[in-house]
Amino acid sequence: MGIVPIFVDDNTGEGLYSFVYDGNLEPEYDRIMNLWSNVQYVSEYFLNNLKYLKDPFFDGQSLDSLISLIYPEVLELDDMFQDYNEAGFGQFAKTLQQIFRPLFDDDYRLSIYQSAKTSVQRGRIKLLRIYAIRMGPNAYVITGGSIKLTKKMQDHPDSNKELEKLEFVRRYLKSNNFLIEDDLKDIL
Amino acid sequence: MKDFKKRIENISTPVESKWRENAKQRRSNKWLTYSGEIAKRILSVLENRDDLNQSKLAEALNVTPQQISKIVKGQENMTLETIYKLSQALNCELIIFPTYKWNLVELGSQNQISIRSELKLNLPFSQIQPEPVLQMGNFNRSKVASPTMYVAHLASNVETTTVANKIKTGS
Repeated sequence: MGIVPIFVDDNTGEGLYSFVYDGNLEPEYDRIMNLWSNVQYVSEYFLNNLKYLKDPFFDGQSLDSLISLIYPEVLELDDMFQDYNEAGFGQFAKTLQQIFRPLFDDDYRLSIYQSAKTSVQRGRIKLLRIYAIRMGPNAYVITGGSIKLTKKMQDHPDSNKELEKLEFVRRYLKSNNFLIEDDLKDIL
Repeated sequence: MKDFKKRIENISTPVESKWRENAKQRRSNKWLTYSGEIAKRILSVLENRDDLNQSKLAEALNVTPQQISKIVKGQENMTLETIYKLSQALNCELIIFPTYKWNLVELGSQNQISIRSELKLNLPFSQIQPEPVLQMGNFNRSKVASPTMYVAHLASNVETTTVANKIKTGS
């Protein structure tokens, strides 16, 4: 258990990390991207969650078209992070907090150990969500991700589990004294 | 932040992310989108067939179950032969070829023939209606069963090279 770099600045250590949970052989970010690239997994996921697809959010889209929406989102997420990675960590480069935003829409302030999320930038229906904990303006650790099926995360067991994972990683960072009081003014 | 890198090292684990390689593979192998679409169709047929599953499909195609597993994940670069065999085993078309509708034949100066074609997208062949064919010269419509035969018939009568060139350029 711990964190692994996805792409980071060799000098400062800032960048994107992924959490690795006990018993998992791959980082959480790799795991979810591989799952979402697997048509069989995605098809079965929607088939097992048919009752959620009646929500107006899905705009009456067929199962067939919903499955087909996932892979292009995976490619777009790849592009988003790859573009960020290629831009580097220079003074004028974007920071990760421009990609990740606070998890809760009414949370307008950035804070330490804050839960965050990101999704593709375009598209009428955005189905994939990646969740992370903010370790600094330009340092996030991915805790997991889900196919969004309900407006509130608590309303679906899988996204509810993602909330638990966010809390687990937050506690892990705190218990390992990852951030100390002196850091606060730098982070906010 | 002070010693940020050092603190990261304290909580890091030796597992390595393969995101970079995986993303590169996804980005460079655009055909994976096609593979995914075929996988989706195979899965939907299997979902509705009690007499067929992935193991039986592997037997029917004389391939390993692992290969079928890779196909239904949408991660296999299938040959046309494999797609054809899958279609036969599933008794279902997995891909549909767009059909050219030969819709206008024009006779220009010096007996040059030009053929305008229109690609009808996303229509199965069965839905393509036969187009009325213009009568030209000694052309006998009753002898023509398909657009290909129609072109062959035209070519055999007048200005073969012109017709062939027009077809090549798709004009």
